[in-house]
This record gives sequence, C-alpha cells and structure tokens, in this order.
Amino acid sequence: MSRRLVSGWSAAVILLLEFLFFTLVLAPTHGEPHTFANVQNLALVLKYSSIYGIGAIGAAMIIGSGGIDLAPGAVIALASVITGQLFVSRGWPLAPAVLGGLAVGLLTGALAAWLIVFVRMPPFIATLGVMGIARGAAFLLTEGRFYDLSRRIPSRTAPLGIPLALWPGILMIVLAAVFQIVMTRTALGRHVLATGGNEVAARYAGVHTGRVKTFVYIAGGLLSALAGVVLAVVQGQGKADLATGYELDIIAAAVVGGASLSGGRASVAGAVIGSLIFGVLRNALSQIPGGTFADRLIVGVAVLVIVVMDRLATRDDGSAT
Amino acid sequence: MPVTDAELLLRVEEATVRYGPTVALDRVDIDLRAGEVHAMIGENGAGKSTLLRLMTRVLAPDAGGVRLAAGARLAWAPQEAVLPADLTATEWIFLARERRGPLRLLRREEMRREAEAALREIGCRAAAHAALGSLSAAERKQVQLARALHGAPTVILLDEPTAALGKEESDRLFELLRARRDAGAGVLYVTHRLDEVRALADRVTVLRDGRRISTDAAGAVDSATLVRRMVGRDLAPHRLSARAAGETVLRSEALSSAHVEDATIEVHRGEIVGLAGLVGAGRSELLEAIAGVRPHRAGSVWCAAAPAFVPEDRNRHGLIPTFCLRENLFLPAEAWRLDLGRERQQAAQWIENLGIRARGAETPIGSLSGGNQQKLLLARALRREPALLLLDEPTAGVDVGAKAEIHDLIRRLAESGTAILLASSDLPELLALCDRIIALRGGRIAGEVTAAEASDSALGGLIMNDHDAEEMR
Repeated sequence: MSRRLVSGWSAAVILLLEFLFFTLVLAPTHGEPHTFANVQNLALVLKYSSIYGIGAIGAAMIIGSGGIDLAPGAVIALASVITGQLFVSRGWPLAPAVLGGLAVGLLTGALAAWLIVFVRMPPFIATLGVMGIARGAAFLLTEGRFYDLSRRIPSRTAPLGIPLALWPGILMIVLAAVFQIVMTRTALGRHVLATGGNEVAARYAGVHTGRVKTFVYIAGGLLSALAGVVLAVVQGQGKADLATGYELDIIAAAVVGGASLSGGRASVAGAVIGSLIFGVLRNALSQIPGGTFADRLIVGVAVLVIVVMDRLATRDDGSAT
Repeated sequence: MPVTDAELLLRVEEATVRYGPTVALDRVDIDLRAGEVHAMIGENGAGKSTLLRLMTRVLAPDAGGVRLAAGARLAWAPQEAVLPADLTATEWIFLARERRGPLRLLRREEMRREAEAALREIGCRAAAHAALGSLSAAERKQVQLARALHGAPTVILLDEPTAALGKEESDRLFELLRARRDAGAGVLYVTHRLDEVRALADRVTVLRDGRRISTDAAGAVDSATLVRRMVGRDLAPHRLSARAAGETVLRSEALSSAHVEDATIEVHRGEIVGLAGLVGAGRSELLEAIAGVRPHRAGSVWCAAAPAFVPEDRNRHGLIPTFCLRENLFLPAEAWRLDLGRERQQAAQWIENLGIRARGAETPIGSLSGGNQQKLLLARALRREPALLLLDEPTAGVDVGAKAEIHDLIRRLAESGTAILLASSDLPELLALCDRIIALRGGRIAGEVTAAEASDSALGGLIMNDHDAEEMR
C-alpha cells in the first residue's frame, strides 16, 4: 500500500497523544484520584466507544469498497427495539432474542445490497432509504414507548463468566481483529479494496464486484445490528430514537482511521482506534465544565484537519490519491 | 521573432523534449513555409503530438527552440478534444475571441452569422446555434476545424483532422485547405493516412522515435518507402506456417454484441492475429465480447481456456490507482488466503522478466510510467499462463523503448505457443507483429490479409472506403 499520512498507525499515534494530553490537563490538583486516567473511567470509555467501534468496522469496509452507509444509527435503534420486544414483550430467552436483533442487520444489509448491486442505486441514496425504513419501523413498533430490558437482566449477569459491562469492548476488539485479518490477509479483503479503487478495472480483472459489495453491506448491517443488540442488553433499553446521528460519527471514525471516501483505502483497526479517539474526547470533555458543548465542534474540526493534512501529504508523494 | 527567410512561417530548431529518462523529441528540425501543406507522419509515440505541443507553446523544449514569423497567426485543431456539451457551435468557434459591442456586450447575431458561414464553408450542415452535445462526432470535429480556420490564420496546425470525418467531409476539408494554402497560409498536417499525404501534401516529413527521419517533396517518395521509414526496421521474418496450423484456441461464430455484427474468427496456438480498423470499427468491442466482459446477444464464442484480456484504457479499465505494483499484479487473488511473502517474491521476478522499471514491488502504481504500467498489466494477464491473450492497443501512449520491449515479449509468447489476438490502430505495429490481420469495418469483418500479402495500402483499403464513412457517423 502506498504511504499515507492518515492510516491505522497515525490514528494510534493520535490516540496516544490525546490520552496523554487529557491525562495531563485533567490531572487533579490535590492528590485526589485521577478522574480521567483510572481503570473504571477508561473501561467506561471502552464500553461506550464500542457501539461506535463495532459500527465503524462495517463502515471501514463499505467505504473501502467505494460505497457509503447512512443506515447504522437507524439499524442500531431497530435492532435494540426488536431485541427488546422479543425479550421483554414476548418473553423469549436472551440468546434467541439476540439472534432476532441480529436478523435485523441481515435484512437491512440485504436490502441495501440489493438496491445497490441489482437496482444500481448510488449507495448514498440506497442507504438513506434503508435508514428511513429502519428508523420508521422502530417507531412504528414502539409507538413512542420503549422496552426495558434491564428488568429481566440481573445486574450481575456474566455470560460465559465475563461481566456484562466488558462484553462491548471484547466484542469490538475480537471483531476488529477478525475483520482486520480479512481485509489485509484474504482475497476478499483485497477484492473489496480493488472494487473501491477502480470498480471497472476490478471487474475487468475478474473480481466479482457484485458479490464483494453484497458482502460489505450485509456485514455492515450485521455489525450495526450487533451494536444495537449490545446497546440494548448493556444499557438495558430498546428505544426507537437511540443512536440518532451515529452514522456520521461512525463514518468520521473510519475516515480518521484511514478510510478514503473516494474508495480503495481503509483500515478496520484504524476505524476502531478512530472510534476510541472520539470516545476519549467525549469522555474528557464531559469532565470539563462546559466541555460537552464543544464536542461536536471539536469532532468536526478534527476530521477536517486530519483529512486535509492527508490530502496534502498524499499529493506531494506523487502517487494517486 | 522575425525569421530570416521571408517565406518561412514557423521553424523548429534542434528541439529536444525529455519526459524524465525518455527522450520524446531528439534534436528535431522542421519548418513550415507559406503556401504549402506539410504532412507529418509517424507511428504512435514517434513524437508528433509532442512536436505540435511545442509549436503551440503549450510545452517548452529542454533544448532548441521554436520561432514563429512576425505577424503570423497560429491556429491549432488538436486530435482529441472533449467539447462542452452545452455550448453552441457559435460559442465554441468564438470562444475567447468574442465580438463585443458597446458596454462590452456580446454581438450575438453577428457572431452567429459568421459562424454559420464558417460551418457552411467547411461543409457542416449543423446549425450555428446547435448545442455541441447534440451534434454527431463528425460534426463536432467540423466545428473544431471551423474554429481553427476562422479568422484566416497564417499557420494552421491540424492533428488527425479526418479521424472522425467521412469521405465527403474530408474532401471538402481538403478543398478548403488547398484554398488557404494558395492564399499564402502554411498548413502542418499530422496524419496516419498515406492516401491523404498523396492527395494533399506538398512536402512530407517522417518522424520515428523522436527523430526526424526525412523530409521530401510529396511527389518524390512512394508509400512503401514512407512506411519503411515510419516503422524503421525490417518486418519480422515470416514465421513458419506450420505454427499457424496449431490447434484452435479460439473460435467465434456469428458473434454479435453492441457495435459488433456477425463476427466469425479463429485463432490458433502460437499465432499472432491482428485486428485492424478505424475508430468505431468495433475492435475493442469484439475483444470485450470474446473476453466475456461484454455480453453478446447472438452467435457464440468458444475458447480452449479462459482468455486473459488487457484492455485499451489502462487507467479507466486496468489499474487500481490505490494499489501498489504488487497488489495490482495479484488481482484477482488466487487463493482465499493471501501469501504476502510469496507475492513479493514473484512480483520481483515479474519485474525482472518484463523489465519493469520501478522502485520495487511496493511502489504506488501511479508513479510508474505509461510503458511500465502497461507491462504490469501484461504481467497480470500472463500470470495466469493463458492459452489465449487478448490485447487492445498494447502500446498506446507507451514510450518507444518500452514499446519495442513489449513487441519482443509478444513475439516470445507466440513462439512459446500462446495465441494472441491483438487490436491496434497502429498499422505498422500490426504489420510488424502479426501472422495475419483481420480488418474490421463498421462492426463487421471486412477481410483478412496474411503477413505475406500485407502492405499498408492493402490493409488501408480494407478498413476504409466510402461506405465506411457513412457507417462511422
């Protein structure tokens, strides 16, 4: 791969610098315990970032294939609602309810794939439609109420012996590792990036671009649904208005992690690190008086700066963007 | 800068242009006199377009210079130009030289009338207020020419002006050019077509590999000599006909797809078969139909094994710009799991075998020259050890050094038994490489010549005639 300023590695560096920065800035003055740099707080950061992080894995692959996905937020919400309905209203055991929530991702992903590959809609429009359908379905099902899963899940639940609160982080890390390997060490991963780099040339070379695109959108759907299931189970709520706007943070995380919106470049590991960068930022800002108001502003500026720097550096390189 | 000889309009002296290590023009001298049509011919990559770019001062030479006579007005009609679809013919003809009246407002009616007259003069029946997007390719070319000829320029540079024109339009253009020449203008006419040189030129210059090979009065030299000077080498010795009798590797019967009608051809082991034809004749479409990239609507095609296809447009249809050399080479990946170590090893070998000049297998593909990119695409195709290789313009836009290497590679492949179907607009290339050449005209097979009986004019006769002009529009 050609050398690029913004990649998984640069994201790791940014995360490290950010962590050090806030550790310094938020250091307590009187020998009190550090509000930011302590295990509990960082575990919290990991837990909340994982919702975005799991979604960012899918976004990285979809953007790498030359597409875009606007549906994650809506799919997260719908999956949380379905899981909640199956578990709470219908009394299903947790495992089948989880599978039901994941099925949401399979369906929305398949719908997006069909619209994009068969009907040949631009991904922006297709996933915009899926987003509306998913969000609308969630509202119709809940009619403004929400499902309270926390009543049926004992607070000390530890599936497979691991405390519930650690599951989001573990899932994110495991899935990131799996998909990072897929993207860098398998033919499928190379074909995804080839499709994003130059779809026509990939097709002429013999890549089944239709299959490749179907894979990324279904995987993206499943990952978003998983994020929704995790949100429902760990947070305890299945609501229709959850995760509004998450897709933009997810895309930003992928871009900061090295994905190029023109396709052909992406890093799953980088995307996950990107989600941690924003997670740390959100967490640290909430500890600064008035900081939360600056959150969106800082995220926006950070994305612009990082992407502009990358474009400038790549152009000097002389290689193709 | 005034030129010493009062008759000389334009002089290029010892011009040298280098693109990195490649020498595109090597100490070329050429001049244009008033009252002459000076034809410039040569293969692709000979330096014709570079020389024109020097003359129009779009490009500056690394050595030598260009002098234009004082008071000379220069006009240029380039070979390829994508015209904006929404502008009218009038607007294009007057672009950057609009007629203005009081308050700098445009004199639309006056311009439209003049544009109308210019179009009629060149034989174009389109209305001056027609949008360029609504015109045919031939009409757009005529608008381009009308723009160049408008305003009575003294130096007229034309690059393949009849490429999109039919016979009637070409003849009209020649009449016009003769009239301008007789009125004292100088016309520099770049072309592939030797029959046009015969019809129109007073002098003819041959360029090859960036050098001027010869300049003669047009009547003093025959076509065969011109071709020999353009190609510059003896045509490869005819290979044994025994090779042509090898087993059949490709057979198509009445194959029809978009732009291709009823194509029946056969290719055998170790043969190099050429596909000749003008722009729009269907060469690329036929290769795409055989490769399976384009679905065919009638007929059938059979290949002994899946053919490897190297498309014409390496940037749009060949290379993945975000990948490095190695990743472009191993596409599609063979096994579901990638073995990066083995890929690096094999990539290094391919780089050596094909003489690809690059800093290594990990270099971004965008930093390679056109010729090396083309070699990489060939390597991608050859990786699969195909029985049949389909090549579409394999040396288009390739520097002369790499071009020779690619030709050698093609010959070596044929000798080792690979069947090759080669489409090219470069007749000398086809004559140099192929055992036989199939001529396409208007999507149909117009005929076939073997290497023994092939000559530029025989082939030219097959790929173009009066009917062709109609079909091309």
